[in-house]
Amino acid sequence: MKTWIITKFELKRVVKKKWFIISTVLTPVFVLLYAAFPALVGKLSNRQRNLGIIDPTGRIIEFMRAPSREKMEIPLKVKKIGSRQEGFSLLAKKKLDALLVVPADVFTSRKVTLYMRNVGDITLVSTVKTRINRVIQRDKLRKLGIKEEVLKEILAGVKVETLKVEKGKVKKETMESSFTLYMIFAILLFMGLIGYGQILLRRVLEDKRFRVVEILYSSATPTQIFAGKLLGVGLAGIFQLLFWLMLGVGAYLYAISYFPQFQLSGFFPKFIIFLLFFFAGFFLYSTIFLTVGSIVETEEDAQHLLGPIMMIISFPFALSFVLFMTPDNWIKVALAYFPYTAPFFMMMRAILSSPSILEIVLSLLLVFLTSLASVWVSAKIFRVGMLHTGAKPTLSQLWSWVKEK
Amino acid sequence: MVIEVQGISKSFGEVKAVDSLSLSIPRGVVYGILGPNGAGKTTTLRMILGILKPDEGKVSIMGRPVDVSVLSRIGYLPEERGLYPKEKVLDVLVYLGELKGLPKGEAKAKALKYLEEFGLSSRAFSAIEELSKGMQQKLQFISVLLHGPDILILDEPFSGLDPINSEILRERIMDERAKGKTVLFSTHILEQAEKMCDYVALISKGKKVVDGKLSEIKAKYGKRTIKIEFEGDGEAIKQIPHSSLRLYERFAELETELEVNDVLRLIIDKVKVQKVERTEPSLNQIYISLVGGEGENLDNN
Repeated sequence: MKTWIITKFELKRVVKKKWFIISTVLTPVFVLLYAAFPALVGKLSNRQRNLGIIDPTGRIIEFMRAPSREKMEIPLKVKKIGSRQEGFSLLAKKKLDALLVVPADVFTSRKVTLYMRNVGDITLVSTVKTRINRVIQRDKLRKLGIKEEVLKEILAGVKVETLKVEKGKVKKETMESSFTLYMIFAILLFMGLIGYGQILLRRVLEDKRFRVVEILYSSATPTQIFAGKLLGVGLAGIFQLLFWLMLGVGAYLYAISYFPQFQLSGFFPKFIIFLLFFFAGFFLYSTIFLTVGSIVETEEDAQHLLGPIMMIISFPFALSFVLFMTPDNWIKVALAYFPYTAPFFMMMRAILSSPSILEIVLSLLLVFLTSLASVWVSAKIFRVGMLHTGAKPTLSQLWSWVKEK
Repeated sequence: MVIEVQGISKSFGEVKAVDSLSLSIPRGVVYGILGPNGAGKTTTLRMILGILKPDEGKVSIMGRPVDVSVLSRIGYLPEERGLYPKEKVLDVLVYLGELKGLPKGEAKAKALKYLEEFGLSSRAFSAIEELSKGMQQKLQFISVLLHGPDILILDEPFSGLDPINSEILRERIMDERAKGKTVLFSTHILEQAEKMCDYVALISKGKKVVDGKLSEIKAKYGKRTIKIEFEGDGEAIKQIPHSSLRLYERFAELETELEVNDVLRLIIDKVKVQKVERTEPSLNQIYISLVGGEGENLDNN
């Protein structure tokens, strides 16, 4: 009951703050911008380029005009130019983006010159290069007497379709969509841990600095206070997360109704797994923040100790991206069971490979049990630490607090 | 006894803050724990409240070991005061009231009543940091009274208060006693305690020096001091049997077992007596006489 009173108070304190409302609303906007930005830049770099060509052979220009076949090529509007002077003046007038000068012996010298307004336009360079290569290859092969039909066959590209097999059944799922899904989940977990962990730390520090702790201690047990703060701030984080996820799921359902090819198999089971690991991971890591808040006295001291904590949380986050592309191996499996890395790694495995329910439950259980043990130890340190003033306690002091009955 | 403390001790590292301390606090009295800073007053109060666990000994309140239900009968004012600066006055009071077991509606009604009584009702929806220091002190005292506790435990309640607020607080404490509440408070200002306490415990370096009814302690340990204003030869004053004497040109202060009449009889023909009075021994004097030099700085702390 007292825990619940503290939970409600702490929850209200977070939720009614302006920054909470602002961040809840603005974060999805930023995520959208973040996601849309590369696409926007991509669109700009894929716009049609005006290419002038001086081609005495007359054969290169013909291929340059052909519509682009590969994803990486950009559309070109090709104009035949008589002389360099003409080309340069058009460049100066910005009527052309680049001028391609093809020598008569291009098929033997394999060398052309590209005069550009912007030499950084790599996509244009690579498009020109790919197409000239193709012309020359074709020409050589034709000279060897290979027929047009065969030529087409030889030059046809290969398309690789990635499909996932789950329990013997083929799932429509691409590497990209899995990676995107994991990235979204991992970033939400990571941001949630760091953001709300720090709020928790500040809340505890505040109780200590503003001397509220003694009043609380004269009304409730340290364990009730500890649990109330953990739940209050945790619930605020979870409400915010659920709000975002609702938006996300809404956007996903809307998107697949128009583009069914984006549909992810087993999206909802994965979503549930994510939520469970989010809660478990959140409580596990939050106890670290709470403990630190209870043993320091000033913001500066807290900042010093925050560094190592950030490392502890960043490590599994970063490592999971490094290991994402590697096939399932014993390290990945082990990390999916080690409680401090499991929230990231089991989530990743759930998205990429197909661990059994038993494996997921076992990993989740380990995280929850470790959280409970961690809450127990932290609550003991918290009890004494909150009244501790002066120098930061040593490790042996902390241990004696844990042992204290 | 409403609070029974039996042989509690507490050490912090090498320092023994409280050493085998026993106290018996009767119901409905104002009880002062007195001593200089560092004597172990705060540690003692924290152990009584169960905030600190004693290394040895035990505490019982209303015949029971201290637990959450006992705590709900106690109002506590810590020495170092503070409340959430960004939160609203009423919100914090309701929260603290709820923590003490009041239903939310009742906590709110009582908080508003006390805010009115202490002249803070216009500030109910202000953030605490917007209040003056004096107002914050009142607010903190309201949080002690809010749930109608049977026992008030106040750690250095007068520290940091201006004379007006000190007087208001003193009156409030005496009001609570009149309602039959037990008030246990600590202070290093013995004059303050002298005006208010029925019972006192003097402590030094974590140990009890003396405890009991204030009047009995004064009767037992207080030396009897007589002050005389006179004209004439001071030699006559020296003839009075005394244990100590301070003699000036026209004034003398001496500790003696004699009654005022006997003193007068001895000097009446030798000097012209302007004024003579017996003064009560002060707690400060008693403390100094019992503890020795250690108590000398008591009021300078």
